[in-house]
Amino acid sequence: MSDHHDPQTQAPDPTPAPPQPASPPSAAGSRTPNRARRVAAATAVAAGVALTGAIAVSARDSNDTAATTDADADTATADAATDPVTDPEIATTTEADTDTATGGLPALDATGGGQMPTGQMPTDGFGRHGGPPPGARGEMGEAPAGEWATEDGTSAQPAMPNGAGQAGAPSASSQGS
Amino acid sequence: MNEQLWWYIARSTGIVAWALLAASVVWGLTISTNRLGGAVLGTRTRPNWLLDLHRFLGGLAVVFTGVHLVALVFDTHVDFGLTELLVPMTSSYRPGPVAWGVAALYLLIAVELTSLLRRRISKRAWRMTHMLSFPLFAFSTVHGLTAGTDATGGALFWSMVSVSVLVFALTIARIDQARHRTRLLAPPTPA
Repeated sequence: MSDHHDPQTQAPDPTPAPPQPASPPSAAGSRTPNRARRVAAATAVAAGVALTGAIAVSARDSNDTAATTDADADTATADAATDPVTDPEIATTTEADTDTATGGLPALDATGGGQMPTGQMPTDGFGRHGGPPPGARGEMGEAPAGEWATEDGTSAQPAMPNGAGQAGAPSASSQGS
Repeated sequence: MNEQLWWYIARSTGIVAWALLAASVVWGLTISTNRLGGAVLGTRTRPNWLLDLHRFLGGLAVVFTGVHLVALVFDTHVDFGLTELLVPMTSSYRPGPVAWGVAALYLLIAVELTSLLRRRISKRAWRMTHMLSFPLFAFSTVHGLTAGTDATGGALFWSMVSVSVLVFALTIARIDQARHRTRLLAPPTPA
């Protein structure tokens, strides 16, 4: 490597450099892309932030609605449990359930036979109506709410003993041959 | 801090990334189709900043896609790891729709890398890879419509459908221009 230097290249330039403009001539062309880039980037970031906020607010609102619905359902359940008389249906159901629990029977019909919950009168194999449902001979069938209760809410018949298989007093018309 | 913040960020950045990708595709098709470019810009010449903006929108889409993936990793609402993000059909959360997003991610990387290396690769290679922008847009749209929580209906759904129709129409116009140019450049057949 040589230490020789060309004096001409080392000498300072005697003529002062002309003052440079604040921006090169091509800057006018590059200003537009910079501006377009800034606008695009700012718009994208703003959209992202706004969307995040909108999603969070939407999720919070939906959670609030769900919580309110749950609270309403809880209140309704609590009312039904503590005040059965308020709702006639609940009161009727409660009375019917009480009758069923105590072995109550439906009111006697005109013939004196027991009314079956299904509307059919199965026989007990001897032509007598008023027996228990098939497959549950000697046991009480489950009564639909409100149909087994008498007007005063009391049972018309005493409880049937299990295995007896006979409900209601047999009448002449219901007697088999 | 809201425990679901990362999930919200993942959703919003996914939407913005898709919008940026759509904007880049629409912008690129507009300026590359002479008739459309002349009608929209009022001139047949293309200033450099138009192409620069097209590239910048694509780059922004990559950035927002990256934030989308990072937010999914940090999110605890849906269990996403690197495997679920990079390997299709490994996600327990909507594996099919997520697989469209994974495929779109690889296409996006390919298009963006070849755009950055445009001066170092052949024009033919760049053009062939750049054509992947169309399946990229299609895959990401399907991913947004099927995997996205927010695109099940409403404004976002119809926005995505409308933009897809616009991209389809612009693509048809671009293909028509390419065919027209091919006919003009074809040597005349001897009589």
